[in-house]
Amino acid sequence: MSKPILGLIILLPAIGAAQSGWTRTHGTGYSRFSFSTLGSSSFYTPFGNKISSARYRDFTGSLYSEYGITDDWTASVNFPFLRNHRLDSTSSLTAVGDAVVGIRRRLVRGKTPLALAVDFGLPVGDSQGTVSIRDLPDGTFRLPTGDGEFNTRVSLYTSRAFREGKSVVSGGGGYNFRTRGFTDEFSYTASYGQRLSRSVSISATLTGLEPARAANASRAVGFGVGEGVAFLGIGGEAQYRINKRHSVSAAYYKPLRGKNLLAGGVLVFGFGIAF
Amino acid sequence: MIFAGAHLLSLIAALQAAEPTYRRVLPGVIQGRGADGTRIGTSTWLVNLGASSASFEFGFLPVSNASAPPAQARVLGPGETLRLNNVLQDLYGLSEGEGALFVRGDQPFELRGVNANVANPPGASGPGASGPGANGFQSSELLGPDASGHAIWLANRAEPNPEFRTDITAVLTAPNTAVTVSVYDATGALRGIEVVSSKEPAIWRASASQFLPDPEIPLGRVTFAVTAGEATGFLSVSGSAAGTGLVVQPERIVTATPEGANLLLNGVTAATDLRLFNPNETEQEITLEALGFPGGPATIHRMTVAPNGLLEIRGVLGAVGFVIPEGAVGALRLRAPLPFLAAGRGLPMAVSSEIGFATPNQPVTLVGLNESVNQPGVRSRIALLAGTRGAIGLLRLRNSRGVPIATSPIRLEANEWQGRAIGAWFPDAEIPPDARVDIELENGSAHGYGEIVDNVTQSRVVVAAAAVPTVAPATPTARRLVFSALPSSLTAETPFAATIQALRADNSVDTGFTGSVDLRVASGPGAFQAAVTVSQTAVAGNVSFRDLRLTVPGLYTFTALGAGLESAVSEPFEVAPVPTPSPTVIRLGTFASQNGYLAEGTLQIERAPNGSETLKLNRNFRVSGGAGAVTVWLARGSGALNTSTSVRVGTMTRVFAGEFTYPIPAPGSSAFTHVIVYCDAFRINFGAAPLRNP
Repeated sequence: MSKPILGLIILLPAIGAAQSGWTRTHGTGYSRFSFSTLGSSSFYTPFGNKISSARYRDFTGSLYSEYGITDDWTASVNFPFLRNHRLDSTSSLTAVGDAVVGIRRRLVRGKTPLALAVDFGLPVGDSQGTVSIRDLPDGTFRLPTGDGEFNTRVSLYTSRAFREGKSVVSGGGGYNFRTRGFTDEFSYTASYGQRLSRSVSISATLTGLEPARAANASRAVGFGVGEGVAFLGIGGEAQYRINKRHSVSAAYYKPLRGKNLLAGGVLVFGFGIAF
Repeated sequence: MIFAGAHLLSLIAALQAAEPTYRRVLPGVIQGRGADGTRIGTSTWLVNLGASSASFEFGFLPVSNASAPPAQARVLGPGETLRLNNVLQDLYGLSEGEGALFVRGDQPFELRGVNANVANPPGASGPGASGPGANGFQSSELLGPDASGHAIWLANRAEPNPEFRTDITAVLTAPNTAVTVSVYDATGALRGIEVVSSKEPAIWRASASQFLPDPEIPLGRVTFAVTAGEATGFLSVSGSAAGTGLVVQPERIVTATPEGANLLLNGVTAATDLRLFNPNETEQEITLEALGFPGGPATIHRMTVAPNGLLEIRGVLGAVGFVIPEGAVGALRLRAPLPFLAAGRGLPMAVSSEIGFATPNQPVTLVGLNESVNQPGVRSRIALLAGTRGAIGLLRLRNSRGVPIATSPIRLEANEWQGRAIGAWFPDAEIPPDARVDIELENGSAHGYGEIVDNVTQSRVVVAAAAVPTVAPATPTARRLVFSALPSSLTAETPFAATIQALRADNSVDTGFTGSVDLRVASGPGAFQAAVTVSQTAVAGNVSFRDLRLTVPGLYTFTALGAGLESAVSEPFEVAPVPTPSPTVIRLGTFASQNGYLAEGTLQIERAPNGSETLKLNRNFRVSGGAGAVTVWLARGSGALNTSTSVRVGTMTRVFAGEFTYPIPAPGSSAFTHVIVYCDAFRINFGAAPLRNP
């Protein structure tokens, strides 16, 4: 799972679909193409204060899919197949991002299901991506699209529906086992969803990330490596079901606070297909 | 009467001033008609004793108001003898004249003169047929200011056609000379005095009979006391008595040594008259020791001389009781506790101790010797008296060109006297005219003199020996050059000195070496600065090169070169570069991290002597840099960097810790308050160091 300074970009698009206590019914699935964009001229420093910085822009196209292997097992994959990003002081870089492959096991059935999710971060992104600095002839800057590490996140999620399923509350937390010297992380999320009509639903999400320990000083040497990142963010999403299978969505997420994190919000547009 | 010679002034001045010009004065030269139809003239022998040819200039100062003739010059080869039978006529064409002859030359020389009958046929009988002779005065024998000389053989009778009469001559050889001529009798009583002075060289001459109020002084002396300038004088003793022809030169009183005064008279015979002068205020006893006479050991007798008294002993040998065989010739050694003077009629000047003796280091020579059995004609004898250690050596006969033609060994016992005709000394050689005989000793010492005897009149002229200039012993000359002083290490652009010595084969310094020595760089990356003179003339075997400079650092060797000498090569030495002046630290700073990124360590800003500034991040510096390039800026504050008002001085691209040095562009750092390490890509500060004065 890649979540460096740009963490919200990668982390958020799958929130609504995956971070719940439910598992998908055997033989069914869901896929969503999403396109996110981020622009930020400020930055949360490793100390947490927000400062102005060069303007950063990112455009990412992702494919998220999940499939019910059984009623209790759901497999998922999230693949940022295209990332293009740059600082206004640098050239741009286009590459794929790190992919995540996961499995979720329903542990408790009922109105308040509990699921255990194990997600594997695959470092398929460009962890050595470098751009040139325009005003500095020999200057280069690392602007990776992946952190170059395998990591494993173990999470527990629970959910509960109310009012005949018109309202949904989900929450959960996880622990991310990182490698290559990166510091493990805790993550948490809570969301509330409300179906406004048969076709429209909205949701709000509160999510956060904290390192399990103090950041590794030897790794905390710059941007893009996701070491020492912490944040608390909120977001909202609106979804419109075109028919039983297809839907579109729009979401916006923004960190309320953070460390070593871009302060800008992420706007995500998605197109979902249920099967 | 005084006669000045203004025309001779220039020559005399040159004689006095032009060192190392050698000069001699021969007073009493004459050209004229004598009694009984004789013609008296002065014959001279001038011998070039130098090692090379030289020009000799003859000037004549007449004893009259006649103007001095122009000086004449003659060139003589080394060792050559110039005989002038009638010097005034031969040089100046004078048929009449009397005065003093001044000679100068660039080489040492001997000048001897004799007054004789030069009529044809020469040597005609009559008084003065063979008159007084003398060796020329050397310049050192001339009397300078405050010097006095005593001529102790004044004999003058007042009657007409006296037995003895004396003319007193003072020769003022320098301008502005004043000399007091005083005449004393045997008791030391002053009998007459004349102060003679002249602005120009001059001759003063007076007959004692005319000069003295009471001319009856059969036993007297004359003192020439020079108060200014330079002068000499002489007495001419003549008269009706046989053998009175005598020229007496003034002598200085030699200070006695702790052992007392010691004089030696050579050539003494039974007929020799002796005079002794005691210049002291006390009576003193003078010891007479006969030397060299045959017949057994020397005997000693004593004579007492009154204070300031003058004593004449006629027939001294017999008078004092020496028993000497008939015809024997020897010497007298005279000793006394206090200084005294002695003179023998017709003898060479008394010599002090063995000064004037021939020694191994000081050969002497007798010049103008002739050997003839014809009448008229002269023959010559040579007499030697060995010193207290005997004498071993040889006589070397030379012709008038100085060419050696024969030698005769000498082996004399202590105080032994030998006198022979020149032909007897050199039995196998034909004696050339105007010959010269050198006395060269290997051991001991000997006093020699010559006698010129007229074959007709049997009158004799004594020839004193003259010292031969000795060529310095053939000391070994320089063979090689060595560096005697050279710094072992140098700094470029710094002046230094090098000293080189010329060494003989035995490694001693050849102090006589005055040749040119060149100093060059034998090896090394540079050369001497062009302005440096690298050729110097040695002084006493040493050559010092000063203010040498090398501009290019490196390892050098020098070489010293001299004509005919083995060159020297110095030890290698290092020329260090000019030390760079230490820059001055003008600002200091310590980094503090900013924005959660690491920046730590210290810095300093240095100002070079040329005003340029340099930012140095010290070894303890470290900054977060893993994401890419970090730049270093001079800023006016520690906040977010304003690149328009700040100056970027350096960039770190791969290494982000340790020492970094960045030149600061003009006009320097004075307008800035901070150094910022900055991420250009993300445009945030990683750290800032406020600048402070040291």
